[in-house]
Amino acid sequence: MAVGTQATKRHWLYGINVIISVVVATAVLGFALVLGAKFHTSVDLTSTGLNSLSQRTRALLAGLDGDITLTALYSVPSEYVEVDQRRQDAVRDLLDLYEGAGRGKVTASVVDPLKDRGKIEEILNRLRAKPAYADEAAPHREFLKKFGEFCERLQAAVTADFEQCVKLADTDPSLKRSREFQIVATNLRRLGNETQTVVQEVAENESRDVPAYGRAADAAKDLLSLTNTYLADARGWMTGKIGQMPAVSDETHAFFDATAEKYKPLVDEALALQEEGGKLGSLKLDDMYTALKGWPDRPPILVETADEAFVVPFDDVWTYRDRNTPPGAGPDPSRDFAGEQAVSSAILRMTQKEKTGVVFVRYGGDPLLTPDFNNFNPSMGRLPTAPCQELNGLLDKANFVTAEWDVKTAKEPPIVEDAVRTIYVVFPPEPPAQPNPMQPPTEPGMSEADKQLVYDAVAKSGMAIFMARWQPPASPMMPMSRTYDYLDYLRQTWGIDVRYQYVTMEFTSSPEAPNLWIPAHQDPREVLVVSTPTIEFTDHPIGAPLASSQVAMVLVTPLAEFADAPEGVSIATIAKVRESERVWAFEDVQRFERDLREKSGTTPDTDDIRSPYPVAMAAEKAEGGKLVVFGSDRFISDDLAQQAGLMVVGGGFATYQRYPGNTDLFINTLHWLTGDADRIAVGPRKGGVPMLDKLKPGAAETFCKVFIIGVWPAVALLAGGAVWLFRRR
Amino acid sequence: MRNTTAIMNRELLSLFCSPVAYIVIAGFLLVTGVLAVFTGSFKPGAPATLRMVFEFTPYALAFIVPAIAMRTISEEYRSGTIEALMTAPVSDAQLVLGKFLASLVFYVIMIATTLVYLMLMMVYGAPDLGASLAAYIGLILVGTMFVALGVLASSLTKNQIVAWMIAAVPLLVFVWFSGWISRAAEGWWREVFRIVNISLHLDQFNRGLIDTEGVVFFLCTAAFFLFLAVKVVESRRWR
Repeated sequence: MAVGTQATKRHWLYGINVIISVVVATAVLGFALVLGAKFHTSVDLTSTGLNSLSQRTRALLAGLDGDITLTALYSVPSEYVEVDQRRQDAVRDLLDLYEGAGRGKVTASVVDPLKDRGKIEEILNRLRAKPAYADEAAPHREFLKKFGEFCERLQAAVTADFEQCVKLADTDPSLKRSREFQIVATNLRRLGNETQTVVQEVAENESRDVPAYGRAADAAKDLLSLTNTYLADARGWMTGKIGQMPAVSDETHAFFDATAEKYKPLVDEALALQEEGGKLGSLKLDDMYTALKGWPDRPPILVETADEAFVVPFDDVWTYRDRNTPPGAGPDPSRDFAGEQAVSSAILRMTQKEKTGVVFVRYGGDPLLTPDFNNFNPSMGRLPTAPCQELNGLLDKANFVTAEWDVKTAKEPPIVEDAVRTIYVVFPPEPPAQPNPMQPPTEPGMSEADKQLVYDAVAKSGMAIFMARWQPPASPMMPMSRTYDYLDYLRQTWGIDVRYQYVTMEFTSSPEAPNLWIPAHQDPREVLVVSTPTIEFTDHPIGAPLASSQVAMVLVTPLAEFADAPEGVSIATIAKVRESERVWAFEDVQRFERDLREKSGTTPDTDDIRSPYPVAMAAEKAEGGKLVVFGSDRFISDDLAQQAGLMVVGGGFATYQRYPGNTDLFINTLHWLTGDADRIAVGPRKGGVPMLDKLKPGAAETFCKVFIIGVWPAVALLAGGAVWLFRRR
Repeated sequence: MRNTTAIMNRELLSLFCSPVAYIVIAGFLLVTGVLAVFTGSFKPGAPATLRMVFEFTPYALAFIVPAIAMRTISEEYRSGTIEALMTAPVSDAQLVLGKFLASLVFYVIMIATTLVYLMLMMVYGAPDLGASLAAYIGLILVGTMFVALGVLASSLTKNQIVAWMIAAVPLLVFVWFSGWISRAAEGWWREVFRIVNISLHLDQFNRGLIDTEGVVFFLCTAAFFLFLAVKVVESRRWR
């Protein structure tokens, strides 16, 4: 019995001991997991640093003077839509990296507005209190106050007058028959109703979480414009045409005279208010609120400094992926994650106050940055455009100030206000006018003196980009051959040679004759376009971050190091046409056309330049001064750099930018020239995923599949069989 | 330590001397091979990465790893050799650790056979070896946890099928549904399910990141399961 009791007691003791130790172990496990989740760090083992911030972003964050707050408004409305969760995770990971690299100066968080409504309120209050927005709306408030008082008087007047008009029409049949009277009366009624509506709209906008004074002011301005039109028309009729209606009674005439007199101060006041309202711009806080409010469909990231804020739009963070991005690379199958590029650009924009001037230099021709309306003909039904109009806007966003210099008309370079330095972007001079192609030009081309003006300006600034291009040779239709005017300067001063007689073309095997080549692009507009991956970047700081970006150039002429390059100049290649038997630079374009016509294909000639060869080069002088030459002047033009493509996304189509790398390449060049390597755009992180480019369809592919599914498991089975046989023996 | 190594060696020897181990490896290779082909990992011009294969591998491992570990201790119970082990100069912890290490080594060898895929990719492309290393580290860590749970399940019963089910069912639930549950849950529970989300942790490794959160999660849970297994084996002494 005693033994039994002791055994039971021992069971209990051990049992309790085990329970306690398991509970303690569970608590320790839970504690460890929570600690692990709270204080975790990570090491990126990818060779491209895919999951890390770029060196440039880290340098940018290390150099921050003030604090930065990053807030992403990303919700996961349904657990069934995995892409929302993956986007939120990707953004959270990115913001964690910013916080980690920010050394206490960056605070980052992901807010799910569906679950945390209070946070939105908190963010809005924080924005309202920022110095940049606190007094921003004061003029708008003042204007709206005056507008409100004006509306009271206006509505009282037009409502009463409309009622009186109705009474007069009942008593005076001639009035009732007058079409003009009916229009005036209807307009008065419409104005009364519209005033009431706008007053309500203004009140609603003013009483929102973040009062939309800008939107309220816009509504007010629209009403003032309407008021002016209607009241001026009414006055015109009351003081003019009514006099031509003899059947109208004196009493009625007296009423309209008095009313017209009454409207005069109203019209004056409306005009004054309209003028005052015209001076009011849009409010940044309004725009920000609108952008933030779009979080259910287009979740934004808010970047804040102590003074101001900037909303990074969804489309900048999740850009439409181009067709060449491999599937499965990244968290979203339809978009590229360019979060680092977008957030770092926003931080740069807000923290870097120094501006750089960019002067586009041309000789003759049409303006490059802003459309020329001087010769605008409205009957043509199309507004004039400038080739780099959109680029101009993008440069403005990237903190540059632009200007244009036509050396033909202005002999002094423009002074760019607000800019601490100037970069010259020099385009090839336009050829002189030649009304008859068979005759020499009627005016001389760019003189040496004019060229010297450009060289002096470049020498003074020490930073320039020369845009070269293929110059067509003499042809039966155009007997005068062209040259690249800045060739000698680039050769002798910077050691860069422009092979302007050659134009790059991409080919594919002719289906009719496999040893002949035909243009790779069927679209005639794209025959002379060369794009990624034919164009590839070297590890030069300008191009290296864009290795996975899509770029395209047109009319590309090869560049080279000049044999007698001056001493003290170091030259590097930024981008080149990669080595391929399918790409070369043609010299005799007429032979190419003839070959295509007569032989259904062409072959490279001994005079042609075979790839690889540079198409963008940088030169740096030991004593100071940097210059970049591009072998294509049109790669930054909007028709190529901003060209949109269509892609199938889900059940519909979506547009995407075909060559986003073009603009980045140009802006990176500007940053490199100014020495702001930290500001060079990193390009979307597409993973830089290496491809199975040596695996060809056919035997090799079949071998892989058979080996993986059949041979390799069979080897394991055979080993098992051998062991079994060996053991049996 | 010597005892642990001795038990591990004995287990490994018995494993590799039976054709079952090779059948398991062949089955695993067949599954991953099918995954590699059907995810398009060996299509011409496809990304040279095994990421898609590794993303689906845990689903297969949830079946296979419990099968590797199910016999470790339950076989001792069934054959009665546990009594001899109990009287031998081997502690319960050494016994459990030896069995666990043997299964883990077998698991690592099994995983290592997929390195052939990587070599094949190196012939036809230039896969990111750093990212692949991280993915393999992730697979080994997830295997550590799975094997530990398998050993715990094996310590609970002498029936190997029951042991397999005890380990496989929660693993399947966690691997298949943890992501969905963590998205469906609200507030505090959401965070709890996020922390124990196996796929989420493994995804970090597949991306090429060695995240300490994942390392802590897999190693701590493995240690916890082994601790429980030791307690279960220990309980035979006083029950």
